[in-house]
Amino acid sequence: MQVRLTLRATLVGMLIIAASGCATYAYKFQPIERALAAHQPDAALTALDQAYTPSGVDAPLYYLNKGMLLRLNKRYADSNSAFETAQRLLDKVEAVSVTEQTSSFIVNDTVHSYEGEDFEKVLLHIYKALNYLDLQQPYEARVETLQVDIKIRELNSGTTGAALTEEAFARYLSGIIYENLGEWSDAMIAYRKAYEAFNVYKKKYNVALPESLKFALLRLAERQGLEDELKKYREEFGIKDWPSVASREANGELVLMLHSGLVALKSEVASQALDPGSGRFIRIALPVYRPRAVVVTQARLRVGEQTVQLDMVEDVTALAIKSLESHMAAITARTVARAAVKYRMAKQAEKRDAAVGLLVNLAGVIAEQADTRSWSSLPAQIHLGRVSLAPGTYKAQLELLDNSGKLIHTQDFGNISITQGKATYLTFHWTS
Amino acid sequence: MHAIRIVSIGAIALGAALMFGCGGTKVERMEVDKVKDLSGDWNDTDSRLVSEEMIKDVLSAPWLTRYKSEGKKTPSLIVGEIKNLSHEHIAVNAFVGDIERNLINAGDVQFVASKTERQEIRDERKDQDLNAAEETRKAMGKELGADFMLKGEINTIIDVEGKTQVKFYQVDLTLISLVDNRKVWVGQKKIKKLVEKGKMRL
Repeated sequence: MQVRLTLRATLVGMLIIAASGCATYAYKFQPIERALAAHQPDAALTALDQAYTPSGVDAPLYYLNKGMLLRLNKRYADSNSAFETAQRLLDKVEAVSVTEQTSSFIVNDTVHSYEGEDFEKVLLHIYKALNYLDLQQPYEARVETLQVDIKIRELNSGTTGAALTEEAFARYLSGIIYENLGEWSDAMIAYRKAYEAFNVYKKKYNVALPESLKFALLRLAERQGLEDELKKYREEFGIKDWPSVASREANGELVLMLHSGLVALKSEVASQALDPGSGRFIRIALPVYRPRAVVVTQARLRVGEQTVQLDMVEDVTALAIKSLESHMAAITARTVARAAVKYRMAKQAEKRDAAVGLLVNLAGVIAEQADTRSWSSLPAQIHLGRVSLAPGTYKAQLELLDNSGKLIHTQDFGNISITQGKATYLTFHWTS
Repeated sequence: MHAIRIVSIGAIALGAALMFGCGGTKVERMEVDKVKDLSGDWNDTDSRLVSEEMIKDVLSAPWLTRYKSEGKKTPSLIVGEIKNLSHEHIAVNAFVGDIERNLINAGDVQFVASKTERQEIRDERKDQDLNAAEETRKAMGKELGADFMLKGEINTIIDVEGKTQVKFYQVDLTLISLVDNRKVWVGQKKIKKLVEKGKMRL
């Protein structure tokens, strides 16, 4: 009896060790990550098709990643098509699937269709907007900012208890788009919401209010005649003078966004235990974010005679970690319950036949994998800078710096043309 | 034992039947004016409703009779910018094209090529200047100047609570005189929808 138990335990143990080499979703992302770190977005696109398939429960993720990689390849229209497909799939899986719920109770969490985290749903609209801006279609980008507003309202009213109650970068970008289309009241509302969201961001994610937003709030509040609000901002920011809307009317604007690094990936933390009495194995696997160092954390824009420091407007890794934290209780409860179910199933099977019982135990334990899915091609940080310039052509250069201020890379944008009353949007992705 | 075998064979047979039924693409042709709403977004039915309303309104409005009573011939219209200020990517050209076609066919108004369309025409004329035979060459500077410009806006108001949305679309089209900027006609179409997303799916 004791020998049989030990033999069984050893066998199962060996198989578990072998099985834990099974590729999780995050693991399969590595070839894509390598291609991005080497600044080869076209190779990354090929690697995506080799690693994942565009169907099944992971389909929304495939299209999210495809959209981002197409954007990195400057194929903005194709990128938006992929994002639209991702959007449709994510909308479809918002409804709770009866079959998925039952099978996830016996297998693992990855049989659920990928629903997308709240911040990922909002960032999807933002990247669509950025694609439209790169395609010189500011009105289509405006449509996406309205979609952001609706999505945030939906998330806040839903019964799922969203961890994300506001999205500061999304609001700020909306404000910039409105301001440059001359829609002053909408811009003021968006800037105000961005201001409130950044106050939350400072506490939760340590992302401070961007300098450019301070000036935007002051000039819009002045233009709209909001005396009390203007006074509040003046006192809080300690700024006495700012270029007014009227003084900027003759100018155009350069808006530059830097997307730095790649967001942290989830990995699995698992532990196995052998129940000495019955010789059955129990395995618990939970997802966790592995921190990843971001190289470029500061940037300077040199255009014409001016030098502007970019402000960080989004710490995507921090958002992701907070989002996982908010789900952790539910994930742990589900995982523990599932382990209990599997244990009972093995026990029941054993009653009929010892070998079958061993197989059921084995199957349950090997299948226990944490859900490490996430939109892995998102950047780790987003930085933004705005410069008001007289109409004309300018040379623009972006200097990427690390934490200590050391220059990592200089990107030359060549000649930029600025038109009166309009914004020229530039985005740059640095994926290593 | 026997019963279990029968049941399991039956289950496999049913599963196989379902699988065959589920596979493959099914195409069903529909009448163009049949209403089928799938996602709750702007669709061809909305486009058709807008164009029908606008056509009916523009031909029956007093501006046309007033114009004719001033002794002028049929007015010529040009389509200007129709701004999409809504929250969806709406194909504006679908209903604008419909309106153009119906108005031209009714015979009361004329349309001239819009800003985006006429560049190609002008390039062709320029090419004819160089390459076409003398008798068939079309001269530059003979375009018909429009009398009125058709401009418009699409606005939306969305009310959302959880999985339920009430969507309100308002399409406004304006006819503006190119002589003196007078707005001679304003057409409006309102559409309201209630969209409820399912809470469960298979």
